[in-house]
Amino acid sequence: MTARTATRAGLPIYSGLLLLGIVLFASMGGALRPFDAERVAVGPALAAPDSVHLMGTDELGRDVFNRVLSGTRVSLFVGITAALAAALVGIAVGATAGFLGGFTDDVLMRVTEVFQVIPRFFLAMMLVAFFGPSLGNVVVAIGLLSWPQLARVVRAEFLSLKSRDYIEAARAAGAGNLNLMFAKILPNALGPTMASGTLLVAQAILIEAGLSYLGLGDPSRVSLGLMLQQAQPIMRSAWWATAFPGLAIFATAITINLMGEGLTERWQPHTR
Amino acid sequence: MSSETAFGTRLLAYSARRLAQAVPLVLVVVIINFFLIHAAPGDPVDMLLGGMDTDPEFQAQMRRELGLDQPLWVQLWTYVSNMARLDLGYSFRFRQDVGALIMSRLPASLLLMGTSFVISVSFGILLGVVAAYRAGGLLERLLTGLTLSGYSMPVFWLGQLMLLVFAVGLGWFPIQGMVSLRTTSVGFDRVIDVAHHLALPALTYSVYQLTLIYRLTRVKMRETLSREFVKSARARGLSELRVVFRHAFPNAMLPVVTVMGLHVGHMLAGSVLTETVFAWPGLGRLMYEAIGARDFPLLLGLFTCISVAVIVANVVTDVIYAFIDPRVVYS
Repeated sequence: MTARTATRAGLPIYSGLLLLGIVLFASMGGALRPFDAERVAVGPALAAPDSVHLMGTDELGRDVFNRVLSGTRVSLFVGITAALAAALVGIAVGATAGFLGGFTDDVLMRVTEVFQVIPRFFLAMMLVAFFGPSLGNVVVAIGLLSWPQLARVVRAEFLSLKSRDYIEAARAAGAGNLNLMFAKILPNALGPTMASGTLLVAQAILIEAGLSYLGLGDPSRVSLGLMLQQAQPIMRSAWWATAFPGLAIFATAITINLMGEGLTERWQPHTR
Repeated sequence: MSSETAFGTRLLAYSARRLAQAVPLVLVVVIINFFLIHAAPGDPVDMLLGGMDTDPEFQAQMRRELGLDQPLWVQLWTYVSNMARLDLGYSFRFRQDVGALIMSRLPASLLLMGTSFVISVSFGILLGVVAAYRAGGLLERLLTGLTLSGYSMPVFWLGQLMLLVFAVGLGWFPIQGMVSLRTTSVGFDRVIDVAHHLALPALTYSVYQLTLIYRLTRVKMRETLSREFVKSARARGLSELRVVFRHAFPNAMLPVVTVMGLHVGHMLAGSVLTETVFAWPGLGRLMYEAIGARDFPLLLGLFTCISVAVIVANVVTDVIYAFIDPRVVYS
């Protein structure tokens, strides 16, 4: 094992630790965040970053640093819950299709294809625009549109695992279909599932940022996308209002992507 | 009949079959629209009027036209047949037909997307091939790291950074729009003016697409370069250029074409966000305006057009694939 492959093998661990750091940082309170993220005029308007306002203030005198922390927390929440929702649907569809095969497989895969072709960012936009931009709707819209990729991965795993000897043995011992699917096969398919689920978290975070930039985020929460939209008219006088919220999205997404890439490499070495 | 015309006929038949398979997908999109209008909270007529104050007479007429007093399946039928006549409805905010509105914004979008597509495809593929050929080299590691960053960056933030640096900071490019408002230029001057405005949005959107194309090309090219037929081509003493571009490259491009087809929706999403940042007067900006005004007929029309474009792009991708790899047509 060369030094480089050793670093690569450690990638999921390092990036996982980094992500943990981001999560802790975003959820920390007290001394780290002396200002209320929603309060206006906690400092002078459009103040450059200094020791009091680490990332400066916006046009209403709100503290950018505190808003970035709150926004990151919302981003992580949306990303993780949407990915979990997608994983639930994806596993159910993929496992059923791969395990049962035949007609059921055909039907489920056709449905999956339909969902893959319809542009999901736009459908998410439509769902949120029509049903209202609450945090729950945003999560459901992103989650319910992101499952096809995962369903394909799970299906492929189930197809290859279901004919293994140990499954035949369990079947002969009288194990039912559900038992075989979720107790015998799924645990062995967990690696690739987790890898592609991790990448979904980053995608969901970027979709949420895009939606809220376009004005389709939950207006009752601080959101990094909306911060960036509001920062644009004051770009000439306050670069910090644009730089930091975007940096937070970028840092979170790239950490999660690195982790996902590391996991993918570990479970599907042949794709490299 | 020569074998070439036979292939042509078969390719045509294949294309027609793929197109026919796309029809149910379009129907799904129309049904989604119908579902959105009727399942969303609130009265469909209020929603379509966008809270505009119109006289009750007109509302009653609209109710009749939509068939809201009829059973749901009759309403669905009315809606589908309207769509089949390409009647996308009326935007009450813009006081214009949705179809006409979309057509008026289409050229700007096509200009931006076309320019970026040419840039990103040529550079993405070139860099991908070079990186795959020099796998493990400094250039590959640098590019792969950079593109992972590009992949994790919201495209609108990238656009804002471009604005901060090249428009606000250095003052090289205009901040927004497609033409200067102060001067009305004509002829060649106008072309220069539009190109000047186009530079930053096109660059932003190209970086976004290039990331995807580079990553795909590199992976597929690397796989292909390690295959037996490439080794045997080398063993036959063919020049490296010939091995890479005549033998490996066409084979690596097949999956790249397919996957790019699958990402058309993703690319269009990027263009909406890019246009919004730079106030580029295309479909994306129109969509942003429609969201701001909660102009539901316009949103539905845009969604329909974009979805149909994505579906058609998928068919086109499959046909291109079949053209490059005739095995598809004959199987």
